[in-house]
Amino acid sequence: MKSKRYAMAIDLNRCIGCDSCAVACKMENEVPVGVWRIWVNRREAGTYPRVRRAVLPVLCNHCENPVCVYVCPVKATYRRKEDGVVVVDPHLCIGCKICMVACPYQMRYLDPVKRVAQKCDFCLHRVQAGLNPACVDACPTGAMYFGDLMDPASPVARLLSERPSQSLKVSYGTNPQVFYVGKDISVLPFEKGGSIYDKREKG
Amino acid sequence: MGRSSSRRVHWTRREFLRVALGSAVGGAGLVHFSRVADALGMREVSRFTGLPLDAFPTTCTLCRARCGILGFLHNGRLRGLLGNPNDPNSRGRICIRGLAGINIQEDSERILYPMIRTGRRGEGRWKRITWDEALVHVVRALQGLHGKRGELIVHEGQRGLLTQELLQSLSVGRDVFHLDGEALSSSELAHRLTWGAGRGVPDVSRAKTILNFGSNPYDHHELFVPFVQRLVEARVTGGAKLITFDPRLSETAGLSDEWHPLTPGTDGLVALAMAKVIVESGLHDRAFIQGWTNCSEERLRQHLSPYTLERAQRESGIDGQELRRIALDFAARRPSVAFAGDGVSLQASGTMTERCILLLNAVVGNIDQPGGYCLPRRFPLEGADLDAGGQRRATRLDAAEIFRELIDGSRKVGVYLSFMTNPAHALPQGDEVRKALEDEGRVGNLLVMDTHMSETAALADLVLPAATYLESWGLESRPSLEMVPFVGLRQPIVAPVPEAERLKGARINRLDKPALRPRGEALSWEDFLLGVVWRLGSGSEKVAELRDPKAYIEKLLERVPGIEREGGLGALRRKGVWSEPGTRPRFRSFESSGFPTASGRLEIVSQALEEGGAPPLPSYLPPEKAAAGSFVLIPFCGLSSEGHPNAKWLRELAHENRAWVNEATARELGLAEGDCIELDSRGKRAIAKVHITQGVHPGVVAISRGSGHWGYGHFARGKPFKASDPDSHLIWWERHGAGVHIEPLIPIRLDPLSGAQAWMGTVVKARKV
Repeated sequence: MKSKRYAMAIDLNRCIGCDSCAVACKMENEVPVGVWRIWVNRREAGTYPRVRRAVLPVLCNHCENPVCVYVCPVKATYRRKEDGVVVVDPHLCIGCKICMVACPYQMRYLDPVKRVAQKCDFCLHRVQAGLNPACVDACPTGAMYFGDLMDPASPVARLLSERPSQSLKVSYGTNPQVFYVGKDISVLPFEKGGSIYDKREKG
Repeated sequence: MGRSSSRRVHWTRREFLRVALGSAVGGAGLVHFSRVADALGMREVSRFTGLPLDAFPTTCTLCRARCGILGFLHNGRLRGLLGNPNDPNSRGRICIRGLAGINIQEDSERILYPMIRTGRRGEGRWKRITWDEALVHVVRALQGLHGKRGELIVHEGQRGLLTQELLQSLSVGRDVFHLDGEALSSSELAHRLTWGAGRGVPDVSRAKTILNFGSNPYDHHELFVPFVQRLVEARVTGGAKLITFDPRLSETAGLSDEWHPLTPGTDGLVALAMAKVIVESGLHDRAFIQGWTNCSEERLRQHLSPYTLERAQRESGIDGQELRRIALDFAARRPSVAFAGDGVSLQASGTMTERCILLLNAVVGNIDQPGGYCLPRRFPLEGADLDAGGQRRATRLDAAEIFRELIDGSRKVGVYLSFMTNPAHALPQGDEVRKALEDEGRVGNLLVMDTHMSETAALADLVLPAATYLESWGLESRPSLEMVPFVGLRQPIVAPVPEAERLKGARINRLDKPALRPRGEALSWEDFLLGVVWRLGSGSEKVAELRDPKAYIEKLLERVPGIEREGGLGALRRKGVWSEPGTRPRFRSFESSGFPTASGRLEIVSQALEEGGAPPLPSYLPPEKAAAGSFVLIPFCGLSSEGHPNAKWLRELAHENRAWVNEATARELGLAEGDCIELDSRGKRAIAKVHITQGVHPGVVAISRGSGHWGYGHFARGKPFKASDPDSHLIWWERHGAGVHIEPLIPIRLDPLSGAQAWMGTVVKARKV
């Protein structure tokens, strides 16, 4: 079978920052409170009365060069050859948290119940059944596109062939498979460096 | 369940559907529903087996949008909720609150049994009783109304299917007041007065210029998901421009093309000044104004003359030239539409201000046009909230109006029956409302039916376990955004207890086998009311006629032409939603039949208002001015105030409500982020943490409503606890607190025209503490 390369693209012009993706993910994957696999960053820029807000949903980038995979001492986390999805095998993971430190995007967490590292797996169980990840299906404005980059007819491949895209922290050479279109993320008011990924509560 | 395989299998979609069907046939008792998953396009699989889950279509009632949803069951448990792709409004999409509905259903802190208090009111000492005993108590309380002072108040937070039908049978000869949180608003009245129908639907998907006055559709809206998806679509693919007027940088304002922070309460002036610009530039729609409104061009011109751009700039703070540009754009860059939200309708001048914005639409002829402001298209399933002349029915009142009299002691209530409402927390002057409810002299019997121990339930004499919206029946026809009316069915995913049937003196209907074991002894509101009426003996023929909510729905469906031909209730149960196939939207409906007003025209001049002593034409009623050192309080609705208070996934994202203060104001007051501020409203005080932002008018303190719970449950209060739910001990937001209860700061003040509570416009003093 021809190998696939699953990827996601998020249209920042469509994202309204409603957090539906974050909650749909919690429902689908039974993610405990206090940790997230996907969330929305918000920042405000400008001075009154010229003020804008920017939103940026973030999730595991399923890097082509995943640092988390290279550092795992027990090979519990790996990038699937057949579709490029980076997954964690909970039976092998020893919960040493090295991957959590290594991930340049801080997308991993230690599951407080199971005590193993966890993160987004593109809802592999749904994808294998021909469905979209839960966040993509739940998004009220259809801002998220998912599919196989090798298939030119997939929504994500079509979108990326039509629109310029960016991904996060390209200078790290991780080659993320989550893309952003619609807005230039380099000029959005998110600081460079790690703090851009912190979880923010709504006001 | 059907076939299973230990090996990882990669199914094609077709194979998958075959397995789905196969398992459906195998699933005992669920055959009827399992085909649904196929009919709808299978949308959910088990995380462990990869097998499709049974899908049950129903309707979400967590907000007024009433989106069609699918509930997915796995091993007898509700596994998830997603949008129903059949719903022409929401088109299979769902919002954060709808997703978190599963938190309410599965919550370990739900009320599961009827309980009667054994101590004083609010002391928290309860005894579990049976439903039989509970009904005896309710019936005695109602019969006790005979010959005594005081009346029956039925307060619904979620409109019941049978309530209107059963109210008279409940009354035992006393006055009944039906407080229906969904029915009354200044906005509703403004629309009735102006065009004779309910609130309009902005056809944003076809619009090019969209003016938003005080609405926040990126966070919530009365047609939230259906509306916002079309709004975003229009902006991204249609190049529509969204311009927001709001004193606060709401989620919508922050992502709009333009945000114009205006002085609170001046929306009407801004709309009228723009209308004046349009009329003076000759860009108004002469044919519409002369042909379809009851106001001559000359009279309109004269009426608008005092609303100059200079005045608008002086009072609203928005640059006059900017307003001129927006007004010209609105008239020229068509189709265009202006709509209003809570920021407008919850003002003391809400009715009038809504009419000003309707006028702005009418001036350019944007009424019931593609891309304009359209009449609501729905099937008439409910009795009208208001009669034809725009008069409110005597029995329906805003809760605030009742409580104003309860607080000052001029009203005594015999029985206060509350369903899914929480007046002790959610109403203005919350603290005094609570005292009134605590006082047995003022409220003889306080009976509360709810899913959770709300602040009001904690005060009750009798607490009854309510079925959730996923456990009960309902029928909705919300205004269609495709402009083709449709009906949505709410049916129990989780069937209510069989006891419901016995309480009504009927046999259990064995054909309707519960899909899931219900939680505890929760009963639906309809079953409860039928049980009460049956025992009262005052409406036995009524009970016999209605018998069960499903039969009533069948009766209601007679009002939906064409559905019987398409399979009636049976088909509706499988699909969840129905609209006449192949119907295309017809705009300019008024051209065939006129507007449903007395004059048959859009009434810019309202006779009813003139008779009531109010300005007959849409006019600007200036708000109360804040003196130097005072601020206008904007108690907005946000995620922290919406959705169920004990829904864990919502509370984790939004648990406290900080007071938004402009950066310049904060500097004057010496405030830093996270400092505390004391808000003082006529001697009532509350202390809140501040959020310093550029995104709020300097004369405003904005803070979200509905926070600071001391009831409901541990998630609402932010206190970790021990329960079977592993999340119960993982609550991490205890150190942030549960927010501030700001409702006591807001005085009960009504829009004199509609009688609805004016939440906006309270003036407060603020100081650092």
